Amino acid sequence: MTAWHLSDDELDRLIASGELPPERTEHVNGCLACRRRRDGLLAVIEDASGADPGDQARERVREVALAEWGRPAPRFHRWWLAAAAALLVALLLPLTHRSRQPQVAFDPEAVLEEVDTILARDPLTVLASEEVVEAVTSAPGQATEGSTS
Amino acid sequence: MASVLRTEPTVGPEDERELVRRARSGDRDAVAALLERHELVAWRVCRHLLPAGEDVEAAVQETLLRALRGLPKLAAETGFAGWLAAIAVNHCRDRLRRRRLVSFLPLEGGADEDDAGPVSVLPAPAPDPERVSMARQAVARVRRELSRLPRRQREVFALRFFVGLELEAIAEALAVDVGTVKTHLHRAVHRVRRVAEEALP
Repeated sequence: MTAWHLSDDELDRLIASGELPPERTEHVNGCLACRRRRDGLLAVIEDASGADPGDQARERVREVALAEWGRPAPRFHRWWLAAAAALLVALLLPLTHRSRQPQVAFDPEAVLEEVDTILARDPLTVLASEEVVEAVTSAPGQATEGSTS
Repeated sequence: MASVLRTEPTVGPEDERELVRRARSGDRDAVAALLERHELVAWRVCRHLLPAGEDVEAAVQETLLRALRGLPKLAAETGFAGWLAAIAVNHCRDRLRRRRLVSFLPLEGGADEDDAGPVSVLPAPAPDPERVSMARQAVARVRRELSRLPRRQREVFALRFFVGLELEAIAEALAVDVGTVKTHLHRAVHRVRRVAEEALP
């Protein structure tokens, strides 16, 4: 057995990982002073840990966790819905983009102007097709001709 | 090694693996048995890594729930205690990150020198009042020093001495190598020993 006691560094190593050369471990086993020093420090550390919770608290927390475990996780549903919505938007976006692309820009002023021109030319064209309008407008003359004959 | 201070009652590895296997398949009794055996791991990690004022009970509950929901991902060979410790550490980090208090608040409430709780460093059978006072001071100083340790050292120290994990299990739980664990642990022990021995007779 080596005579000298554990250095601070050796004690730190012994406490932290238990890694000491065999002859130093042998010294600790045979040296009351070194064992007291080691055990005193371990005891302080153990006391610093504080008290564990009582059985009631442990059981309460465990039971709540088990009960929650049985239920579906609400967060998962929220994420699932958000992901579904994002997917839907991602799928629809190219479609709306494509349908918009070939369209000519809508100019309300030009449309109104065109409507006004048509109405000015002949108000009936609003109500019927060009063929019908033509037939109606030419009908009186034909009828007169027919009736007179 | 005597440094593993607080360990759960030992359970045979075969028994443990069987419980984990049953738990992964959704067996509620097996899950409850695993929690009952190992839940103190979560309690101790949360108590030592969260600052004073943080709701430890809520943190433990959330840790257990995370563990239960992650059961399908638990490999049958993995030790449940180490796995639960890793979840608890990560949960504590999340809480601390949310509160942006990683290194500013003390771990234990107050750590008042007169409120160090029961001490076991007293010489039996009839403790001398002066030694009792000194021992209490040592415990209070150690608690205060623990709260000042860098986060990683604090985690390693708590997992080793308060949870009782082996170095390899700590390395696995923190996703670092064993050498890193040893380095952090050695530094933490050095600081703790210094303050404890200053106060001890």
